[in-house]
Amino acid sequence: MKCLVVDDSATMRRIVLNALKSIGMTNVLEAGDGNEALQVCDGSVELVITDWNMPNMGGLELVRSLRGNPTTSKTPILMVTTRSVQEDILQAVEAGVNGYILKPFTPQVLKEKISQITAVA
Amino acid sequence: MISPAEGPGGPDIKTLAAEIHETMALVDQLVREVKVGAEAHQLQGRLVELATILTKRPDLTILPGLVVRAYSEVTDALGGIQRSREAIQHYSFERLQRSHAKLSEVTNVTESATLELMNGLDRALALIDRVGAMTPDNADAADAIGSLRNEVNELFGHLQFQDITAQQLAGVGSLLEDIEARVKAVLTLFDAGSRRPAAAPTAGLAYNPDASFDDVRGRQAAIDATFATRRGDESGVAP
Repeated sequence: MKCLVVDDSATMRRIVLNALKSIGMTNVLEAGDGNEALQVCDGSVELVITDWNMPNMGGLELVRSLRGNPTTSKTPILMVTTRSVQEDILQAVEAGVNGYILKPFTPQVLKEKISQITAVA
Repeated sequence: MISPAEGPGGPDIKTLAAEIHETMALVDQLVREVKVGAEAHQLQGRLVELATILTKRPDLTILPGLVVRAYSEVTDALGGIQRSREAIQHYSFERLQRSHAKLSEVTNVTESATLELMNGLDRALALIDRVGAMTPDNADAADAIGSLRNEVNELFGHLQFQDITAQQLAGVGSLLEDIEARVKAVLTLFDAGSRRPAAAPTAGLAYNPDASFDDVRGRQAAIDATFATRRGDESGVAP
């Protein structure tokens, strides 16, 4: 499965990459913000894992852009963030996020969420 | 024949008219001077009148002294404001800036250290893979190697602390920036054209100032419940 990890923190990208590797996902692209993500995300990407708070273009805006593009409108999107206020969750749902993981997470939680959203999508 | 403008033995009419005109101009000038003199006299009279009042009202003679004292006190107050301003500049503003710089330094140092730790963990994982390849038929060794790999992966996950603390520090840094701007506004309060500090931007932040390690499991459960409710099923997936 081809996956795109979007986070402005190089540390977090490596952590997510390691977690994905530990569950057998090795075909992974990286982007440092929403703008970079839009440049690399095409129809071949089967899963997007994105942070919320990023410079230039944040995760929520990225999700809206992806959902507005017919090529990526159905791509499963997992938001991985520190934001846990109810209003934020509802905004993410409205934008079209398929799953939502709170940082810090374990590889097990990541695996479960990926299984959930990719099985249905 | 005598010209109508001149009589016999006297000045001619033209000369007489000129003299009369000159005389009238002199009279006009005299009248103006008399008026000015009268006004000056009037002013002098008023001054005398005021002096008389002051003589009769000795309490009013303190007025000039009061003005001088007030001026002196205002000057002292302005000096105090200047000293306060210097103290704020020295102790608050510069200290805030130093604190802000320190926070950035802490973030950079922890990020570097975390990346070094990750490099070490990557090397450890490579070694684990090598050891695993050396003992393909040993079930006990495979179990131990699997457990070791899980431990290292767990350690990777714990390094998320760096991202979360970096966001928290960014939040504090932003707060310090806001306070700096306000202190600066106080410092320029008595300068010409001083302005109110602009409100700190809150939208589109590259960090979450509320990032926390508290009760992650409980909050994740609440998020899952919200997703389930909003999506209308238990999968948390868009319909």
